[in-house]
Amino acid sequence: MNTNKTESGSSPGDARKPPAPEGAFALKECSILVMPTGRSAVNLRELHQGILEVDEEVIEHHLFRCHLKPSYERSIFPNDFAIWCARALGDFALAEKLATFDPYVPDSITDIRQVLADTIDDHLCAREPHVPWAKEGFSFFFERSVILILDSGVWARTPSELAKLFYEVDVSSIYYHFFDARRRHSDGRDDFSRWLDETHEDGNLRRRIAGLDFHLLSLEEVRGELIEILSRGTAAP
Amino acid sequence: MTALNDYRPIVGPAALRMIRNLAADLKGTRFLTINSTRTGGGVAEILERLVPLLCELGIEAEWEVIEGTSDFFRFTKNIHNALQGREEELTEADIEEYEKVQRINASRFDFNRDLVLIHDPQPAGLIAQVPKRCPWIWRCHIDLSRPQRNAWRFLEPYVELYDASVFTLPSFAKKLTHPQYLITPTIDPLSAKNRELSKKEIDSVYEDLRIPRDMPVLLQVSRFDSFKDPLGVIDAFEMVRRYTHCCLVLAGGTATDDPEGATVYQQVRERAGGLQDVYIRELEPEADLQVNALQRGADIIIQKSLREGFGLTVTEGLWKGKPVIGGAVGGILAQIYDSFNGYVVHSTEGLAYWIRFLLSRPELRRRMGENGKKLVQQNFLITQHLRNYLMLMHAVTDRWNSTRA
Repeated sequence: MNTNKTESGSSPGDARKPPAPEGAFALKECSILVMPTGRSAVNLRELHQGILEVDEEVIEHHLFRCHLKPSYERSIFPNDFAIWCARALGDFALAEKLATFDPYVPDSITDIRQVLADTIDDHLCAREPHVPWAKEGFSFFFERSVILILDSGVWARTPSELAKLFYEVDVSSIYYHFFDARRRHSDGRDDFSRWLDETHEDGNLRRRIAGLDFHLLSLEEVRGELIEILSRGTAAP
Repeated sequence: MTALNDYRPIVGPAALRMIRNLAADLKGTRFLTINSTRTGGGVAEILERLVPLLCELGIEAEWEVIEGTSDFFRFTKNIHNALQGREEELTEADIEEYEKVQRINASRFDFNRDLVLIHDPQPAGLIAQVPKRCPWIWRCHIDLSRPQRNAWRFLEPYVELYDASVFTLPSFAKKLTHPQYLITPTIDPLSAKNRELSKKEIDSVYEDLRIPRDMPVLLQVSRFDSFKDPLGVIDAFEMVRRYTHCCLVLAGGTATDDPEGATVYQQVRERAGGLQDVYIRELEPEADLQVNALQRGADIIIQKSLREGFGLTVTEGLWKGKPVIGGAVGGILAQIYDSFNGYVVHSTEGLAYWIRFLLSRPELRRRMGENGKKLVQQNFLITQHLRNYLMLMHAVTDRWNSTRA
């Protein structure tokens, strides 16, 4: 499947803008379709083994793209591994450790995989011979996903205009530009900060965006924070 | 006829624009979907809405229904039960009948399409009867987590002929050689079953069905099917009634592809005979407004399933702002979070306990109802389904084209 799609269809009834002029920020949206891998874990030992053995895209799905999946628990813990440890194992100590882990720090999925596996292994060692088991019906299912990226047709020329437009696009736009961008760009920065760098001289906005503790926020919460920052512009503290 | 724009007040303009963007490249796609019943059951309800919406988006979508003999539907019901884990005998004669019905139906439909989507085991064998000129997808709505071996062995060779499969939950997925995808079913917030109702409309339905409103109402809406455990619900109600005054409503319809319904209905009537405040109501497949009113007038929604593909009645109950108590199986676990919007239970005693717990806490019921409605709004409405179908079409056709390039 194409993972990028830069054309978007016309939408009757929607006031579509012409193509974004140079220097404008063009908002993209994305959508995922989840694919089961057939592999599951019923206890922490199996989760550990699975993390070591599954394809990189599976780790990526459970740590990053999981933000695009429906889940009530996403508002509490930021990744699938932490959620499962809390809900299925009732092991909140491990859930907290896995939730605190910042996957945007390591350079590669290989490194991320190792940190996750080591964290779980340490936890298992500390509790030997006890191995936490999932409640019946709560196995962990390893998944991957396909993602489709679309131009929304919505663009902004100024930060305050961008803030006004965030509710006109799907919240997946925040995932693409703010979460996923950090892994797409070698400098590890989000698209909004890069755009502000290229087109504006407002260091205050960039600093406030960079100061967001986004990793523990949901997409909706990040959107709210960005609207707050961008709409207040340079008047902000 | 509902148009996509009608959903705008519920899901917002961004969701609709994104759907239109996803559909843009798929305009003109000749899409055929086939299931086994036009009325009754969640699949028919979903297709009734999805197909017109796909057409509105420029996809040439058509929905066909296979025809079969009573022997065929008895066999496919057995297969359905066996795939959900119950011991059923599959005879050679049954298998011959299945193949015969597939052959007859294969000649009824035009398979000259760009994409074919087949639902569940009943029409799954069509793929073996026609030359494949486009990608075929098998959409399974059944809980396949613990199938009877013989049933899966019967079905698997057919499923392997497909280019992709779609399951509701990861626990239902099987070891197959083609890609598998996950899509949860959804409800239509604008349908007669789910739209807002006035108090007058709700009262009128309760009056018509002769169900009193002067005590708390516990409601389970589902087909009369042993996997929905209506007898267990009555047992739990008896336990509750020793402590609290309330009534139980068991309401359900039958589907044309479910010959077992009448037997279970009879069992339920016999079990409830002589019990006070138990109301058994057999509803017509088109009694959507009645279901809606019953759910909106209820205090607690129950879905004590022993196996469950997804449990759209849970989704419906949550959408009406009610706390839902459901069996800890299948898709119910993806919808009910303990203490957030209801409870999942593992026993009849558990059901009785949480009913009593909630009946004595009206404020908690109200809060849970709000949580449940929000959960459905964000995840389980038909617009999300439409978006997933469009994603599926992209994924499967792209793969088909790339393997042939």
